[in-house]
Amino acid sequence: MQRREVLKQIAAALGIPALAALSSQEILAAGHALHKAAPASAAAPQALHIFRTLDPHQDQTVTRIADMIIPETDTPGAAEVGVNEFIDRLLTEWYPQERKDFFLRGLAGLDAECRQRYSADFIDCDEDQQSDILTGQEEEALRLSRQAGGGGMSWGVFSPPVVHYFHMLKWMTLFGYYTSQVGMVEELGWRVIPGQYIGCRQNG
Amino acid sequence: MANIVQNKVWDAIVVGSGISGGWAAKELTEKGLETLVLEAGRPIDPGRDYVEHLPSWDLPYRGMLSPEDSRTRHIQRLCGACEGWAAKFFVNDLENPYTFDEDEPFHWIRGRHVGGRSIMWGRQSYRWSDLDFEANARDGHGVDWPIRYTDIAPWYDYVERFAGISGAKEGLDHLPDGEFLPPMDLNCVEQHVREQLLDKFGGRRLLTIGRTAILTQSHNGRAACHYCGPCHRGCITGSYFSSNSSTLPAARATGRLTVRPYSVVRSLNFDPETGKASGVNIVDGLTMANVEIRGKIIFLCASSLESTRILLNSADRDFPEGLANSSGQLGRNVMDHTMGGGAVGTMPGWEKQEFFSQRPNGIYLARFRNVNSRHPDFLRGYAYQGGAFRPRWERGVAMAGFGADFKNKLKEYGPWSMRLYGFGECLPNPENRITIDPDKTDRWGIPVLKFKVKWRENERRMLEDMRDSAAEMLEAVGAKNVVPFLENNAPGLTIHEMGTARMGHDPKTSVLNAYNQCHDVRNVFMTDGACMTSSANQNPSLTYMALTARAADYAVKAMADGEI
Repeated sequence: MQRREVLKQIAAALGIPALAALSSQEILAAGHALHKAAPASAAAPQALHIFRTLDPHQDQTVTRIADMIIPETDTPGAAEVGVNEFIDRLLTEWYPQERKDFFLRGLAGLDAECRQRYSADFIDCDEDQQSDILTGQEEEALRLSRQAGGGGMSWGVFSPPVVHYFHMLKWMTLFGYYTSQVGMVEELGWRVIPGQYIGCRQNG
Repeated sequence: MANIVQNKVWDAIVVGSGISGGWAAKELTEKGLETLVLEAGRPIDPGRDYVEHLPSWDLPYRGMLSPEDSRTRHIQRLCGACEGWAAKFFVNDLENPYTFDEDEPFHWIRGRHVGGRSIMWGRQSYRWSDLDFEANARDGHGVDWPIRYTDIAPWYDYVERFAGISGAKEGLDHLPDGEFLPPMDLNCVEQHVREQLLDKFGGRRLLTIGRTAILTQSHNGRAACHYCGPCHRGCITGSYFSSNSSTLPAARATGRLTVRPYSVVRSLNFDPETGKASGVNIVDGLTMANVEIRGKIIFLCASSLESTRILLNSADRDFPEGLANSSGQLGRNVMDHTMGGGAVGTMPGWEKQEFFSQRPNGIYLARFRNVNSRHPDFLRGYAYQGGAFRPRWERGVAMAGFGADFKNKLKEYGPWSMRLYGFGECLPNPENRITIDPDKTDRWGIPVLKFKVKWRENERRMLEDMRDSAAEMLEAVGAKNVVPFLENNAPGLTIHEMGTARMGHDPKTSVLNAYNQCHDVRNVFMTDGACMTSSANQNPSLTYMALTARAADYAVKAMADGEI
């Protein structure tokens, strides 16, 4: 009775009859409608992204790595949801200049290593080569991060690690994906208005 | 000073519209007084300003603070609630400066808009007990409170019934039960920890669900919580207590409420012929005009330190050290709770259990130090908040791997962790002090505060015990990988700043009497945190609500009796 009562009240506030019967997408739209008067942010993401930091080669590299980290499964992967565009935005507007430079130097170093080992840029290596390289990059990042004691999670909020560019890239990829509509709603099943809290139940 | 003088004389002027100001407005208007609420900041329209259901992908940085907000809120951003959605509820630090010595920072977190910090507050609501009201008298720090639990208990009942506090009755003398709505659930691991603690510590360590001003069922025309999670971004269904959802609508319903936003109060005017304050001087935030507004009684509810700033800035011939400051205590005894001694550990064996949705509440582990026995290292006590949770994708950076398997793993919940995070009492100390900085003014030309506040030996020792006891308890209940921690938080950041105009029996050593009335100026009341004589360790807002309602009741009776 409790849950039905809650849903009824929210539904009344929204002006729709039966919230319980709605899909998570429809509830999301309803949640949005509650705040329709909220003025759109001038800096809100736009339909057409114009790259301001990543050049086409860097963008291809970032897009490929992001999609290797979060590939398409039964839900879309990082490339399809435009994580590369979000990364370009963070590098251009959000990170301080020295972090942006640090990241771009790391990307250049990746290509240098690929050329040394495989005589090709990362993007032109085959899939096995790319996978080997990425595994190596991650091992190095974890090793350096352990040495520095840097980066970590506290109360569900991750502090971006800073000791290796690969951790910047992995963090931006995960954050960009799991805060996108596809990542939150399709992949994780997030419901903006759950209507109830259950403290303890069996998985799945 | 004023270049505009308003002729109307209000029955009551309330300075500030946060938790205390909202309650003053409700009580005074319901008792028949034509009341003007002066709010320094802008009006709030929930339909435009609340953003709790806006998804992350609609924000340019997906909810992280923007570079511009980081620049203009370089102090506010130290508070976790000042993020991409809610930064607008925190003041612009460049417009609202204050000063301190570099090696003794004070982090002052503020909101200037109708509703004040009642929009972003933590909502945890606990009664104090005589363990708290007798603390100063017992160990000699500060002066004695002029009230005891019996004086305030009926007012706790009264404000809880209106505000709606959910929680569980536990029968602890030093953390009295209230008029609770049904409690939220503990999750599986928290329930386990509760039982283990009771077992391992002979019933002396009690973990209960947080007592919170969030509705678990519909109440007084407000809808029950729907567990969307981020309360500090506003609540369009009014499911937690804020001035905007609760007290101001009640005040408005009387037809006797006027709210004047963009009204930055500079000072009060003292009339030596009547011995009372005649009104307030404001700077109109839109026109920058100085306006004088008159009232029969004045409730200062601008937040602890802003209310005291107004009195300090009201110094005149009769009160050269600040209005109502014949005791010299105005601005002294700044307190805040210490926080950040604690521990975190993983809880194996619960992988098959999970919780559903976002509970905007955690656990509360009640004070156990210096309750029945005397701790050798420090006076007073502390309590823990925190809880058990399971991270999901957030653990992905530290977790090696990539590809489909990695993605599928991040869809599952990770290991359970249990965290205890301490909040401790701070002793009143007259050397912890705010004064007016003669060299600096704010955006409205009003002299700002200078802080001289630091943690001292008792606070530091207590923090260490918070850390050690948290680790000890987690080990005892079966946690693994226990990591004790001790954060180095500056005073202010707990946002429980209190004191600077303490209540007391003696006008020579206190600013306010037992009814929050200035000893020196009988028609001026201070009912926000400024009045606090000691700090206890409980979150203080519920006590401000009860004291405000009690003071308003007294003030209206005193007006009717001709005493004011």
